Amino acid sequence: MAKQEKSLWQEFSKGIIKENPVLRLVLGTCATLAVSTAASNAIGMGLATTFVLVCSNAVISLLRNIIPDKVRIPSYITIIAGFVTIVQMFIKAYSPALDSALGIFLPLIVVNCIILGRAEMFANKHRVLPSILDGLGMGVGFTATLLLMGIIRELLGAGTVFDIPVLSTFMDPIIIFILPPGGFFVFGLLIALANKLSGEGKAPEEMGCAGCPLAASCSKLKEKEAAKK
Amino acid sequence: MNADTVKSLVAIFLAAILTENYILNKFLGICPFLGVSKKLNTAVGMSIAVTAVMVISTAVTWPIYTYILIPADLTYLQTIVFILIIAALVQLIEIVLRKFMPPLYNALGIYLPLITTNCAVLGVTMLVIEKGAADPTFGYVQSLVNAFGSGIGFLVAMVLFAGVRERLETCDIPKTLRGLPITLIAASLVAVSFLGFQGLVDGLLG
Amino acid sequence: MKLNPKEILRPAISLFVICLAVTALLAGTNLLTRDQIEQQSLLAEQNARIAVCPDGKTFEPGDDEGSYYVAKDGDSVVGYIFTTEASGYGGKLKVMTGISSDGTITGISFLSIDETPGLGMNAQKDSYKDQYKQPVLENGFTLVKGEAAEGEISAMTGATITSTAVTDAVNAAIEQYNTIKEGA
Repeated sequence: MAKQEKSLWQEFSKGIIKENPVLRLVLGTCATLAVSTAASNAIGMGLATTFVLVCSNAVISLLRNIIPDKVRIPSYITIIAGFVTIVQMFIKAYSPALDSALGIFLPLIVVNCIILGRAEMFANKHRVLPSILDGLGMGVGFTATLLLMGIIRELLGAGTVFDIPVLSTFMDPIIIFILPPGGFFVFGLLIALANKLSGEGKAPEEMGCAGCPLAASCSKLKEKEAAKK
Repeated sequence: MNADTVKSLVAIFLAAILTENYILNKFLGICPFLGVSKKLNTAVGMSIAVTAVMVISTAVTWPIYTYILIPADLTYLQTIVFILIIAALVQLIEIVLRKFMPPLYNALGIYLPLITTNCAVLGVTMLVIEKGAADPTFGYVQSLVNAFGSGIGFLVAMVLFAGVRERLETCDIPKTLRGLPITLIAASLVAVSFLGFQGLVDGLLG
Repeated sequence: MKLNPKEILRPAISLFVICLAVTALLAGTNLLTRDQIEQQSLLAEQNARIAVCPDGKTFEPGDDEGSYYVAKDGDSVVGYIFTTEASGYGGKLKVMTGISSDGTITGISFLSIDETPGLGMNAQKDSYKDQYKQPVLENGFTLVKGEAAEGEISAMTGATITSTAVTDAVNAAIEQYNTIKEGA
């Protein structure tokens, strides 16, 4: 390798704040909005996704010179779907309550753009160890954001945190926060906050977009390109 | 088909559009919702392509699940089989359209590759299986109607929201909220209005 | 368009090998977790039944279709469990009702419920569900607003439709119970 690789710590830590997959790259929004109604669901979903992310990044990085370019995407999808199913089976076997709380969003981890995005953007260009750390960092960033949203929505919408009564002891919860509109609202404000903290208008260098199949018509990417000119 | 069946199909169709709206109620397909809803014509094109793929995918995955995976005791392969079928179908539709219907391909073709990893499509194929397991009367026809209704619901949400976003363009928005944050807050308000549909369908059709 | 056979073969074979490997891995995991998953679902069913009929030790289907269950302690019948449906605000409500053999409701639980969080969903709270734990009446329970007397259920504020649906479902269970008692 001619260019020196970034330090491993950087590969890990960038996903947590600088390139936070949810708030900065805006990937995996469906799962973020849907399962953040309670803090405990958020942790379960975050950990399941992190596991898949780390495993698929590792395998795809290992096979990056073997998989022919033409069937790259179907191969990635197959590998990711395999790991998702494994997670699904273990959660069904050892935590049926989590399985029913996450419902259809557990198998839908397959189409979470974060995972395919990282495979396409990172794992197929880097060696195994950095890829694993990249996956781990992105996973931790995803989990932390989900947990933050889960805590905010559960606290305001149900008056509890991890099912422990906090606000509900002295006020009625604001139910709308655990309904769909509250999800959009909290998510919007968190993105605004993240933008504010990391300097307005500065888009992250590496948008996960190239990996997202929406890239061709996504207005987000076009705006960014327009801004470059 | 008797009157009751027709009535239940209409109820399934309306529920899929209004009370179980994929975008605003179930959070499925948020990426295209935020990415492509900026202009009305792209929003419509994308939604039509999604609707078509939803119906065709359901038409294929339902029999495969019911007549192959269940008898062979392979239901644990559902996720992987479904996503590969959808990916293959999307490719196939693209090739067929390009070959035989070039005008249609020119109009919708660019959206097709984007749909493979749209969670709304995988979502609908899995949800109809789940519904069928909970309610034995929910069969193949009901599943197709549900898939079609979900697609139309997707279209309705996209079109409504494209209108809202066009208005937003001319507004004076605080700097921090510009772009995605204000879009999401607007989406939140549209979702509030869809909450009002809850309980409507059962009430309409008794 | 000319295609080199190698250009088709290599991607096809590698994709095939990947699919094969993943499927083999899944089959292995399935073998590993299958028994545990089955046990979990049996356990969940058993726990759900004990929750509505705490005196039952074993549960047997009451008829060929399994439309209701008989709870037994050894050989003696201690109660019955019925599953009934009613239309709530957000769709069908499936309620499981346990009735002891001396005609008292021992508990209700929800098999499926999709009501408004914070309003109709409060039907799952014990404070609401426990209202139904009383001797059954010939014609079922009546729903009232405010304080409830015997044989009455106090509706949840802001969720009358859900309260009505739950009461309808429990009353349907009582009807089935009465039919069985008359037949016996």
